[in-house]
Amino acid sequence: MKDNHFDAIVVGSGITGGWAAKELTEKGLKTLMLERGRNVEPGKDYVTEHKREPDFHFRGKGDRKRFQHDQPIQSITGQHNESTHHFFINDRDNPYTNDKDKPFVWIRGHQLGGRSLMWTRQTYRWTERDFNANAEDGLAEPWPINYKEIEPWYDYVEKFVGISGEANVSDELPHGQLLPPMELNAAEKKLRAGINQHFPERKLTVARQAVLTAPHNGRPPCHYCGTCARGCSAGSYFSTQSSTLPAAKRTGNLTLATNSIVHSIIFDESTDKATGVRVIDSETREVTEYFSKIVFLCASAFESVRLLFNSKTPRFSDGLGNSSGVLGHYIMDHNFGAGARGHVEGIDSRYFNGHRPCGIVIPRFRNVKSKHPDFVRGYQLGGQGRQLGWSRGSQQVGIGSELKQQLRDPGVWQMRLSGAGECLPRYENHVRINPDVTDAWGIPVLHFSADWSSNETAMRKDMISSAEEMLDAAGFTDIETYDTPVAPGQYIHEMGGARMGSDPKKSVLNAYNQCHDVPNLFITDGASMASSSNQNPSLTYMALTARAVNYAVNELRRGNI
Amino acid sequence: MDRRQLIKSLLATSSLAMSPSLLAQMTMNAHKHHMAQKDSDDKTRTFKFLSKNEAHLVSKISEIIIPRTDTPGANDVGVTEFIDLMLADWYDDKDSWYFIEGLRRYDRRLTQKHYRNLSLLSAEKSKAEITLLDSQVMQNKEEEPSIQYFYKRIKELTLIGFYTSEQGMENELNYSGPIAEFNFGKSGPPGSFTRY
Repeated sequence: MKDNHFDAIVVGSGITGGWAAKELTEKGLKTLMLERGRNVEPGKDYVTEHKREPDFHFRGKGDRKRFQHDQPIQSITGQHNESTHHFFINDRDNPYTNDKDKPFVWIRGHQLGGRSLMWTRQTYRWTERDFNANAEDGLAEPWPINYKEIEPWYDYVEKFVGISGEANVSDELPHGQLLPPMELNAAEKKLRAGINQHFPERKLTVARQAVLTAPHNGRPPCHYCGTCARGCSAGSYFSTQSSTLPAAKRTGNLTLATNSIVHSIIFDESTDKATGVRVIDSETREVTEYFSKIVFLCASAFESVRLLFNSKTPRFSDGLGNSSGVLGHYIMDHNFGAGARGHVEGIDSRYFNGHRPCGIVIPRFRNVKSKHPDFVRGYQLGGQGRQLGWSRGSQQVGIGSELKQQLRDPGVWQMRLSGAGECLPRYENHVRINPDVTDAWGIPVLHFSADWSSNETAMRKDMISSAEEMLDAAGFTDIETYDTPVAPGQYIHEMGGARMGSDPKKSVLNAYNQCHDVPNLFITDGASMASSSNQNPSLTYMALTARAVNYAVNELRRGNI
Repeated sequence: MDRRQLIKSLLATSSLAMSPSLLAQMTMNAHKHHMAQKDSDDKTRTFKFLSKNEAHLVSKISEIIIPRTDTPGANDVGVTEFIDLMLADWYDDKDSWYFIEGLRRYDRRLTQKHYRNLSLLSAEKSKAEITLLDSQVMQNKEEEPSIQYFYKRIKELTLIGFYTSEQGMENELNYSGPIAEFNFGKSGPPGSFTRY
C-alpha cells in the first residue's frame, strides 16, 4: 500500500468523524482521518481546564475587543468565552455570506475532535413519531428509515458512549442503555412535583447526557468541576479524544492527518466512484491527493455540503452527487430563546459542592395525543434550577459589610424553562456557493438563505405560555417570560442540505447515508437529516454513522462498491 | 494648566445646555492629553487608564462597597487595578470615558454639597453618601445618566473584581474549584456537603 492509498478516508474528526474512524478501523480497514484544524491532545492542549477565575486576564469576561475582531460570530454563542475561545474558529479566515435580511449564525470548531470538545452532551433518541413526521403531515419527503431500523444502532452506540439519565420517563424519550441519573436539585424537584400534580401528561427529568456517573469502558465518572467545554482530560464525557479516537488508534489501522483541509473530492467519471480527496495543508498550502475505496464525509452538515458543491465535475456541474438538485436545500436548526423564569421561596435547600454539568428536560407534550391548533410537530423544554450567587449583589440595593455578609449565603432559588423546537424542512431554506468570496485558503464559501416559518413562530408563543403555566402551577413567583430573537444556526444544531430519502430524484442519500449518485461516498453528519425533530441530534448522527459503516463495509466485501 | 484645572474650568464655563456628548468629547480629549503627558514624564505610572486622582476615588468607593471586615476588602485584593484594566482594555473607549464623566460629575456634586470632594470627605460621610447613591441608582432614581452609568458599573466591577480574586474565592466563598459563582460551601452546616 502506497503512502497515500487507504481503504477508507474519513473527512472530519468530530462526533461523526470519530465514530466513522472507530467503526471502519475496527472492521479492519486502513483508514485515513482528515482534520482541517490543529491537533488537540487531552490534557496538554486543554489549556484552560481547571484554570481558576483569578488566573484569567479578564476574570472570565473575555478579551472582548479581540473577540470583536477575530470572532464576532463565534462569540454570539454562550459556549464561547474566555476559557473556550481557542476551540472556535477565526471568523475572518472562515467567512460566509447570507441574505441581507436573513442573518445566519454558523458556529464552528476546527481542531481535532471538532465540536465534540465543547458540545453540551445532551443525548436523546429520536422517536418513532419523529421518523414518521414527514410522511404523516406530508410537509417533506419521508424518511427512508423508521425507529425500529435505527433502534439496535442506538443501543450499540449508547453502550460505548456511556449515557447517564433516568429510564421510563416518557414515551417521548425512548430509553436504552443508561447509567444512573444525576440528581435533581431542590427547585427542580419542586417543579417536578407541581407538574406531576397539575399536568400528568407532562414529565420532568434530569437531562440525559453523555457524561458518566459510573466507571465505563475504562473511563472514570464525572468529578463535577463544571468546566466541561474546556476539555476533560479525565475523559468523563464523550468526545473524540476521550472515546472514539483511542478505540480507533488501538486497532493500528488509523492514520490521522491534522491541518488537512479537504479542497474537493476526486471523482472518476468512468466508474461513477469517488477515488479520493484533494487536501490543502493549512500551514504550508501544499496540495496532496489521497486515495481510497470509500469516502465518509463527516465534516459537519454544511461543510460536507460545501465540499460537494466545490467538487464539481463535467457530469455533476451543480455539485457532486446533486443529480436531484436538492443539495444544499432543506436546511434546519432548532428554534429556541423563548420561555419563562421564576423564583420560589421556602425551599429547605441543601448545600452542595460541585457543579452538575447539565440541566433538566421536559420532553415533548404537544401534538402527541391531541392536535395543537396553531402548529405542527413539537418542542421540548430545558432549564435549570439554581440559587442566585454573589453577582445578584450588583442588581440590588445595599453596600458594605451587610452586603458582604448577605452574599456569603446563596440567594433565592430561580428556575428557568426554555423551549427548543422542531424546525420544518423547507426547500427555500438553503445554502449555495458564493463564487465571489473565498476563505483564507482560496476555497469558495457558502451563502445562506434561511429563516423561520410561521410554524416556528407559533410554537415559540406556546413555549412561553406553557413554561409560564407550569412554573405558576408549581408555586413559583415573580414569573417573567422572555422571547429573545435568535437567528437560524444559533442553536448549533444545523441539519439538512444532503437529506436522506428513498427517491433519488428528491434526495441526495439513501437509507444507509450512501450517495445515490456516487455509491462509495457516504455522508453521515447532520447534512443527512430529513427532518429535525425537537431532540438534540448528535446521538442520532452516531447511530446513523455506525449503521452506515456496517453497510458500507459489507457492500465493499461483497464487491458492490 | 493641569487636567483637573482644565476640567474645572470646562465645567465652570459650561452651561446646563451643554450636551453630555460634547462634554464627554471634551473630557475624552483632556484625558488623552493627560495620558500622553503622563506616558512621557511619569515612569512610575501604575494605572493603564485611570489617573492617580481617579484611581483614588475608585478605590475609596469600591472599598465602601466591599470593605475589609473579618475578611479582606476590595482594596486588599486589587479591585482598583481590575477596574482600571477593564476601562483600559475591555470597554469601548466611549463607555470608559462616560464612566469617568459620571465619576467627575458625582465628585462635583459632593463638592457643591459639602465644600469638599469625596477624597477629602470623612469616612462616615463618604459611606452615607455612597449608601444614598446606591439606593438611588439601584432603584433607577438617579437623574444624571452618566452618574447612573458610572455607579452601576463600579458596583458590578467591584463585585466581580472581589469575588473572582484569589482571596475573594478562598477567604470569602471558601471555594477552591475553578468557578467562583454558584458555590456556597462555607455557609452550609458542617458535614452537609453533597453533590447534587
